[in-house]
Amino acid sequence: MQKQEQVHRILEGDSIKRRGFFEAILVLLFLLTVMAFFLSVCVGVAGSSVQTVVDSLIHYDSSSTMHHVIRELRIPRALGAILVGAALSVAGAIMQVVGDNPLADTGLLGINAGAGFMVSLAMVFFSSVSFLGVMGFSVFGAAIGTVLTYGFSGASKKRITPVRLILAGSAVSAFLTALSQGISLCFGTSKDLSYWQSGSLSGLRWNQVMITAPWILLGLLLGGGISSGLTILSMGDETAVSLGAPVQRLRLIGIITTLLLAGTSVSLAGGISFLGLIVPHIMRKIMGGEYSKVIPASVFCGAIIMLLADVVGRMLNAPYDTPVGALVSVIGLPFFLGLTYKKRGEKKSE
Amino acid sequence: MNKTSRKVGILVALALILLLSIMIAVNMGYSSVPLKDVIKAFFGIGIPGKIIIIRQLRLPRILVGALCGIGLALSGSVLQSVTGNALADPGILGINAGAGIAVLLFLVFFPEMYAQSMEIIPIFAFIGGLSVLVFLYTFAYRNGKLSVKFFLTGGIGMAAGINAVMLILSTGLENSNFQMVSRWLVGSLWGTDWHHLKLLLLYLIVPVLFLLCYSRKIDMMLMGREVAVGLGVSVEREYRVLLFVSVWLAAACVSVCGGVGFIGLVSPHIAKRLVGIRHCFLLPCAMMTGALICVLGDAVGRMVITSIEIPVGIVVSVLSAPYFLYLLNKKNM
Repeated sequence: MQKQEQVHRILEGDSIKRRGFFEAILVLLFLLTVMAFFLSVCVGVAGSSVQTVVDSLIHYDSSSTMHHVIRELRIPRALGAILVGAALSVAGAIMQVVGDNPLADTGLLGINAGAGFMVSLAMVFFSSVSFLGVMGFSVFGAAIGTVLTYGFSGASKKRITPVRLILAGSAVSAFLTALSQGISLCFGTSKDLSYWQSGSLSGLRWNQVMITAPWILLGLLLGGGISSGLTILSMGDETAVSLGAPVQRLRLIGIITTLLLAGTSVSLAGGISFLGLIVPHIMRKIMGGEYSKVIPASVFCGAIIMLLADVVGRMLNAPYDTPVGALVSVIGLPFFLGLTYKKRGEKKSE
Repeated sequence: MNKTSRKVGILVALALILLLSIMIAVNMGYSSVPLKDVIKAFFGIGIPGKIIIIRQLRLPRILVGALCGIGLALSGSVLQSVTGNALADPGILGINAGAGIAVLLFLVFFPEMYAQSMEIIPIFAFIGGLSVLVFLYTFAYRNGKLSVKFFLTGGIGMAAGINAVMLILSTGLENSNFQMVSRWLVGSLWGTDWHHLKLLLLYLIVPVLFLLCYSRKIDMMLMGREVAVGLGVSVEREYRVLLFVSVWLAAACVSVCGGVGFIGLVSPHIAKRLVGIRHCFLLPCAMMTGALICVLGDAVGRMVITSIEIPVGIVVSVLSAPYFLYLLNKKNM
C-alpha cells in the first residue's frame, strides 16, 4: 500500500509543488560548500585571513610562504575533501538503492577495506607505481571487497538482509585490514599505512587531486544520470519492472559507479566510514524520495561534512592532524545506531 | 558412557597438544634454542644467556598468551550461549573496544600512574566493557526478548565508533606512547612479563573456576526458559551474572594483551565440533582451543619474518575472519 502511495506521489504533481523548495535548498547547500571551502583554506597551523587567501588567488606572490602554503597545500586539500565527501555520499546513496539496503555504506560493507588492501599491496610490491596506478589498484580492491562481502553474506541462496550484509562486511573488513596491516608491518610501510587507513587528507597535493578529479566527476555524472532510474528502483523491483525500467542494467551501472567512486576516494583519502550512510539519509529526509534531487544534494552535503570535519581534525590537536575518518565515524555512530533502532520500531508496527 | 570417555580423551589430547605447542613456541624466536636447552632451562641449568631468554622473555609471554586465549574463549562461549547468538564475540560486540577505551582514557589522563598501577587497570577495563554491554542490552532488549540481530549490529557499530574515538585520543599522545597504543589496539603480546602473568592469573582464576562449576546450570538454561524455570533456575538473574562474568574475563585479557578479536568466536565453535554442546566439556575444550590459537598465533607472528614481529591480533584475525564468514554463510539469520 505504502509503496503504491509513494509511486502516486512521485508520478503525479507532488514534486512540482516543491520544485522551488528543492532549488532553494540546493543553492543554500552550494553556498555553504563555498563557505566551508574558504573556512578550510583560511584555517590552519600557519594561520591566515580571508584577505591573504584572496590575495594568493588573485595576486600570487611567489616569495610569500603564506601564499605558497595556501596554493600548494590548503587548496588541494580542501578540493580533495570536497571530492571525497561528494564521492562517498553518492556511492552510499546508490548502494542503498541498488542493494535494497538502507544501512549500506562503503566502509561498513568492506569496500573501503578491499581498496585499502590493494593499495597496501601496491605500495609494497610495486613501489614505483604512479598515482594513477594506485588508483586503479584501489578500484580493483573495492571490487574485491564487494564481491567478498556479498558472496559470503549468502546472496546466492536467500534474500540478503541488511544485518547479514553488515556482519559479512565487518568480517571482510577485519580480514582485509588485518592482512594489509600484516603486509605493511612485514615490509616496513606500516607508519604511512596506518595513518592513511584511518582516513586522512594530510599531504594531499595537486597531482593527486588532478588525477582523481576526472574519475570522481565521471562517477558523479553517472550517478546523476541514473538518478531517475534509481527513484523507480527504490520503489521495489516489481514496481520498477512494471514501469518498464531496465532493472538489471541500472543495477550494473549503479555498482560500477559505486566502485569507481569508492575506489578513487579511498586512494585519495583512505577509508572513511559512515559518511555514505549519513548523508543520503539526511538528504532523503529533506528532499523526499526522488533521487534526481537526493543525489545532487548529497554531493554538496557530503562535501560540507568532509570540509568541516577536516577543519576540526586540523584544529583539535594542532599541530598534529587528527584523522578525519575517525571524526566522521564518531559523528556517524549515533546515526547508525539510531537508524537500526528506528528500523526495528517500524518492523514491530507491521 | 563410551561417549563420555571419548570426550575426556579429546580433552586430554588437547591438553597434551597445548603443552607441546607451548614447548615449540618457546623454542621458536629470533634466537632459536634447541629443545634440549629449553628443557634444561626450565630446571635452571644450562647456559645462563639462554636461561634468561627463556625464563624471563619467552616463557612468561607464551603463558600470558595462553591465559588470554583461555579468557577470551570462555568469554565468547558464555556470550554465545547466553545471548543465543552463534556469532557473538567480545571483539565483534565492541566489549573489547569498550575495555580498551577505558584503559586508554586512564593512560591519557593519568600517564604518571600507569607504571605503578597495573593492578587496577583491569577494573577500568571492566567498567568500560560493562558499559558497552549494558548499552547493547538496552539497545537490543524489547518486548521481553533480546534481539540477536540488533545485539550484533549495535555491537559492530559501537566497535567501529569506539575505535575511531581511540584513534582520535591516541593522536594526542607522544610518539612512543602512540606506538605502544597502536600495537596494543590490534592485540599484541609484546613486552609481557611475569608481572602481567601474575596479574592475569589473579583476575582470571575466580571467574574461570566459577564458570566451570556453573556449567550444569548453563546447560539447563539452554534447554529453554520454561524448562529452566521448571528446574528451579532463575533465568534472568543467571543471565546477568553470566554476562557480567564474561565481560570480566574479556576486560582482564584486553587490559594485558589488547584487543585480540575472533578467538572468542572461533574456539567455542571448534569445541562444539569436538565435544558437543554440554558445557562441562564444552567450556574446558573451548578454553584449551583458545589458548592453542593464541599461543600458535603469537608463534607464527614471531616466525614469519624474523626481524619483525606481527602482532598476534593480526595473525588471529587473518586466520579466523574467514571462519566467521563461513559460519555466517551457513547460519540462517
